[in-house]
Amino acid sequence: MVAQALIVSLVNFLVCWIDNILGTQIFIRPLVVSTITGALLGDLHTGIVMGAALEAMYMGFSSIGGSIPVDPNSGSVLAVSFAILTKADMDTALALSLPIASAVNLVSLLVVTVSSMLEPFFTRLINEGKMKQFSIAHQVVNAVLMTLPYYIVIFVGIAFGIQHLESFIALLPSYVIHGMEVAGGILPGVGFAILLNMIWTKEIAVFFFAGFVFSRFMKLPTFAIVIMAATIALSVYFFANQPAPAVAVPSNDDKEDFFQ
Amino acid sequence: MKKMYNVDKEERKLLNRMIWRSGLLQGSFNMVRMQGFGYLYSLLPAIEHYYKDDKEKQIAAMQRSSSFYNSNIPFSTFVMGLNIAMEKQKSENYESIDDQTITSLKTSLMGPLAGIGDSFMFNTVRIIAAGIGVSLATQGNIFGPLLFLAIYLATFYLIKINFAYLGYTMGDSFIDKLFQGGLLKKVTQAASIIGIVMVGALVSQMVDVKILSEVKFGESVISFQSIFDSILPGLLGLLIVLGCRTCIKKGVKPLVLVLAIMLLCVLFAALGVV
Repeated sequence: MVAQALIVSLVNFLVCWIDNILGTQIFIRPLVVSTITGALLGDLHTGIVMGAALEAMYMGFSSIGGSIPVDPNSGSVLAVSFAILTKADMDTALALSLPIASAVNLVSLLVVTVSSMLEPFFTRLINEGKMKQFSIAHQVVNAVLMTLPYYIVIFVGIAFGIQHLESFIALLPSYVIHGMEVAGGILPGVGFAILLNMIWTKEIAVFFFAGFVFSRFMKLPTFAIVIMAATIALSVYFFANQPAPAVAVPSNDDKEDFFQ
Repeated sequence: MKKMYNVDKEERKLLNRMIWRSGLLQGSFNMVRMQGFGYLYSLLPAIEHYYKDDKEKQIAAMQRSSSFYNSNIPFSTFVMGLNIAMEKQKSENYESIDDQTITSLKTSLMGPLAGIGDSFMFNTVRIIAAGIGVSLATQGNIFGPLLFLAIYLATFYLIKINFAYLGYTMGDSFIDKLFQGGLLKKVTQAASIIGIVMVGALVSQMVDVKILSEVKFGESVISFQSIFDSILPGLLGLLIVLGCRTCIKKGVKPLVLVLAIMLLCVLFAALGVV
């Protein structure tokens, strides 16, 4: 498994490095890295399908400004590698992903501590006006400190961790494994819940149920749902610009009289 | 970019280098200056160009550009464009703008731009991209991840490039327009409606539980699942998500919620419920 571990961690390191250079924060998302990892390990289909579930699960986790309690990137790479290399059930791998992601996230504490210790070094370069050295130092810190450590952990995880995880899971009673499979089907809901909590307002909450109905009852394909959503959004946007009808005011008074 | 903005070739070159370099805004993120060094890294070509004859002024510009900064990456090019315009003016007449003005403008813009930028990019654009990408990907379709990338990246660069030029050419009058007209609020509201519809659709596709327990009424056996399905297919998934949201709103940590769900699932599996 060392060879596969090397390929997976190296390619994902390069992807993350490019993502950091572009500042896009999108190539490191579960949907993308799971697809890449699946392709590298010879099972593109599993990679894409797991990527969908992982993206849903981590959707809410990463948007809480600044303080991210988990590392979705390594959680996804390791979960997909585990599912493909040990032929484990996808939902079990999914359930294992979050604990892994929160453990790997400890690396970020270390990374930020070290980078904060480098602050005086950068300040000295600035005070001496060393532009070239400053630029190089910034790029090197990005590659070596901000990016590389996570992929060393991922390499070790795939090369030496997965077998142990597999033999550990083999020891568990079957109901535990089945329970984890069921949990894997529910966990994306936590990601959605975090997200909902952020965008939920009384005014637009009803559209959440509309989306549910479009998909579950009307069985609309995704693009149709997007168009429906855009239609709703645009009409709300346009009608919000209309002045409120004047009739509303007297009827309101009637109500007050009635209740008095 | 050529016709939309009145910017000469030299300036365009500087702005494009800033746009490219601003990707590394978080490159040496630390707790002291946060993205401060990344901000300086983005502005460096402009500083080098405008103060090329005076090392003292170069160093002073580097120092004021590396102060504390923390904001959304694509939206930051607006502040940087504005900052470059000010540095240009300062390089032409050094006394016209003092250091304080530049630093305070930067500091006053980063907060609102971080708020709008993060909620627009992560809570809206990325949800729409994920809504389309994830539902295609659940069927193993490679266009899932590809469209996810394409939608997000197109928006990302549209904002990043235009905001750099807008900041440089229009300055803070643009920000005033954006806030006063309430345009941005309306756009964000409209976009979050699309977002919440997509989340509703995704919940119906991705969150599901099957209840195995059955009740016996004399001869007939009724499964709980069929009762739930007859009320509303996918009802359990919907209730779980709404329940989770209530917990999070009440301050329960998401990781605690995840562990609780895993424990409950194992417990219910042991009892044969699920």
